[in-house]
Amino acid sequence: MGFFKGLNDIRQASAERGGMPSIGDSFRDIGKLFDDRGEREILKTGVAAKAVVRGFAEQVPGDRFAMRIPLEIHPPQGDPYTINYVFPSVRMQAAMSAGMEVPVKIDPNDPQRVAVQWDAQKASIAAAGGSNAAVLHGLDQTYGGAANAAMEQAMKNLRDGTQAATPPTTFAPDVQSRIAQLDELKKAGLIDEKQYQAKKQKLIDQL
Amino acid sequence: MPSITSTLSANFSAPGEPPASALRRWRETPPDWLPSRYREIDDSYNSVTWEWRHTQLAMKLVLGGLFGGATSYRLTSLFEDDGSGGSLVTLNGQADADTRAAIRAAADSYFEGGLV
Repeated sequence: MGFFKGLNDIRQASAERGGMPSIGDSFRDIGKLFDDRGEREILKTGVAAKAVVRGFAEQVPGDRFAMRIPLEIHPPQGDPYTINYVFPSVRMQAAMSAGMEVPVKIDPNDPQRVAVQWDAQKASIAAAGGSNAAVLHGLDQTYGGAANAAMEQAMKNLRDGTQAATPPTTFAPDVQSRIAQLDELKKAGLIDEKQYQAKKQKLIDQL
Repeated sequence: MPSITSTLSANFSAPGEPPASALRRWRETPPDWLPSRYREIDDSYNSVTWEWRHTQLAMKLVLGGLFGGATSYRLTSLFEDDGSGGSLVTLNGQADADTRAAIRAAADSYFEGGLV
C-alpha cells in the first residue's frame, strides 16, 4: 500500500511539474546547458588580465542557460573598458559580485569577449578568507562602508526596539558625507573616540 | 570529481620577493612538494594552476576506460603583495593524499577541506 502510494505521489508530483520532457528536448537542454560558448578557446589562447566586477550576476532574459554581469576589464596594455559579460551558468564555480577582482582572459581577436578563470578566482577567494569575506570586501570597496554603516544602524535600531532600519542615504559617498556618517556612529556609541579619530584621519588623507 | 577531503588551502611566504617575480620563479621551477606528474594548465595575472588527471585501476576495470572515470586534481597558487616587499602565496584546490602530506609539511599554514 505504502509502496504504491509512494509511486502514485511521485507520478502526481511529476505531473504537476510538467511530467517528463521528450528525449529530443532533453538532449537539446543538455546541449545548451554544457555549451561553453567559446570560453575554453579563449582560456587557451587569450591574454591574461584583471577585471573588476561592477554589479551583480543575473540571468539573461530569454536565455535560461546564461548569466550576465558587468565587468571592468584592465588589459595589460591600454585603458580599462567595461563589458557586459555573458557566460554559461554551468561554468560559474565561485562567488562573483560587486567590487571583487576577477582574473580573466581576453580574446586576442575581440577584446569584448572574455572568459573568467575560475580556478584562479577560487584561489583569490581562499586568499581573502573565504566566500563571505571576499564578497564583503568587494562590497566595501564599491560602497565605501555605507552598507556596513546601514547594517550597524539597523542592528542598533533592533537593539533599541525601533521598528524600521534606517536605509543608507547614498552609496559611494564622498569624503564629507562619510565623515558625517562617522559622526553619527560616534554619537550612537558604536565607535569610540580613538576609532573615530583614526577613521576620520584616513578619510581626510583621501583628499 | 575529487573528493571533499582532497580539497585544501595552504599559505606560503616568499620574503623579499615581489609577487610577479615569485610567480615567474614558481612557474619556471615548481616547488619541491609538487610532483612532476602535475602539469601547468593555466596562468593568470597573479596565479598559476597545475593539474594531474588520474584514473584509478578500479575505474579502468569497471568502466573499461570508455566513460572516463578520471579524477582531476587541480592546484592554484595565487601571489599577492605581503605589504613589505615580499609575497604571500595562497595555494588552493585539490591534491592526492601524498601531495597533500607534502604540502602540509612545507606550508606556513594548512587548511584541510579548503576555505568556503
